Amino acid sequence: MTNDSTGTLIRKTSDRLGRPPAGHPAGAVNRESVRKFKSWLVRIWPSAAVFVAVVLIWEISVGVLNLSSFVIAKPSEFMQEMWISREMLLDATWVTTEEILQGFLFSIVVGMVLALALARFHWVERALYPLIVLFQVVPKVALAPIFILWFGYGLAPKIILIVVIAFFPITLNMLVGLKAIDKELLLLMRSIGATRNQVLTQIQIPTSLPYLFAGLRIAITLAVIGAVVAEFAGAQNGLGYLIQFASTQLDTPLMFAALILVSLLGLVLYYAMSLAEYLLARKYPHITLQATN
Amino acid sequence: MEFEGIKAEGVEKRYGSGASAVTVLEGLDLEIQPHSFVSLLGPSGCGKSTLLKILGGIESASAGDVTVNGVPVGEAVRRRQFGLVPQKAALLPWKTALENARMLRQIATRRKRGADIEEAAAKALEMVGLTEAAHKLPHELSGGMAQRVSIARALALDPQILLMDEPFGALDAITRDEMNLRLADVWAETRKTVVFVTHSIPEAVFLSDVIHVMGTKPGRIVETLEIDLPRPRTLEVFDTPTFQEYAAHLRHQLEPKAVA
Repeated sequence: MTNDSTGTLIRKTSDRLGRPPAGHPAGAVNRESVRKFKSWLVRIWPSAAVFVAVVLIWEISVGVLNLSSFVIAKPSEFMQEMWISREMLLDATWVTTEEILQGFLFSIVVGMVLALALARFHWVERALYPLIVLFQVVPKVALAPIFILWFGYGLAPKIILIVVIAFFPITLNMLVGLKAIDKELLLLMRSIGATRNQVLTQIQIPTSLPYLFAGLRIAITLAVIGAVVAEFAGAQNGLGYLIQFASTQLDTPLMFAALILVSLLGLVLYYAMSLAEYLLARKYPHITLQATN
Repeated sequence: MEFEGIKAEGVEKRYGSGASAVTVLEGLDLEIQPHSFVSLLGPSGCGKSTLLKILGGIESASAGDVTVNGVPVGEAVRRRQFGLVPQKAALLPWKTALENARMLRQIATRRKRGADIEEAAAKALEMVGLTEAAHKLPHELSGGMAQRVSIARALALDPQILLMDEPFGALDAITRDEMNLRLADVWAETRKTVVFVTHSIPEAVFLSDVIHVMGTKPGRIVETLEIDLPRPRTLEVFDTPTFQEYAAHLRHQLEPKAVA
């Protein structure tokens, strides 16, 4: 009896950790994946049911209450709109995706370089860290019109706004990771006369990777926000621009269609980021596993 | 050149300055003979770990000199004469036991690979009896095994001096006995000079040639005791009268003095 419940408990724990117990036989992989899929279904159905219910209630109540489609569009209306304007919407989605990806890449570069410089050189930390924190207080959404003024309506102001919004969690997370170095490891490095660069490259950077990935996940969602805000401020294409444009035309179905696509885009990018992390973690387990001893 | 051991003269360590300064170590003279196993034994807070770090050039002394083999300790660090075994194993979680054993030597020599590195790491793992576990990751190792990898990592440096800072403090009593036996074997095989910090009397007596007993406030050496027990030592040594006498004497030395 007691044994049984302990067994269940342990199995549940390994489920939650999302990895098979160590040393499971290769033949069990197929059964394992079927079991995983089933447990995924079990986890997903409540939120799926709520989602369907909300869409239905939305559809029905807009009709019953006889609300004007200027105010709120029915799901069926903007689904239709999505199909009718598919070329324009796909084009806009592509433009926005391009902005997000380029901005995100620059954010990674800026964020990591800053974190490394702050961790490696005390004077950089003393000079820059208070300013970076101060800069976080600035509502960066308000910077969008300024960037448009300075850099025009092209790609540049979008990328710059994304970087300004998204670099911070990358820098902060990586910096925390770089400083999370084990004190005993530091003693070991000192006992062999290792240089600061060696400590940084051999110990600190690998240690910081799980922290960095947590920062990247936050940053990708911020990059989506940055792109939309930048397009609001001034653009000639993109989903944010379409939302803005549709609102001036009182084309509510188009507005909702673009809004849905932006949300989907954010979701897809977030899970792409998670997938990248998962694939990397399979090769280098330490990027998500914390030190255990 | 013949190795001359470690000499410490007038070593002091203070933290802070002025009225709030705390003296951790005061007027400390010490000589450690080459190829001997020396323990620093004392209650917690007597500065034995700090002394170890000063002897190994990891921390600097506020006053006094430490020389190793006739050269200042900083120079000895540059010549890679020390191998440290810290309190926690502090293995890199993403490297296997073998890779962890290689790690310090790779960094110290600034080479990723080399026949000497492979050979030294494999031999060190063999010495601590972990050849079988060479490809396991740290989270698959027990506490005792992790600590043995830590010792192998220091041995792979092929240092003249092993600095061991209460390496078995966190292990259970049975594992600890096993580790002590193994360490005695390793020492007999390599004859490295070992400076071993501990607060366990039996551990110190079992392993050492010389025990420096330390007192507190400020940290200083109150007695230097030579342990004259035959080697190789086995667990039966614990039951001999000589061992008991040493242990009783040390217990008396370390007894908290009655508060006046």
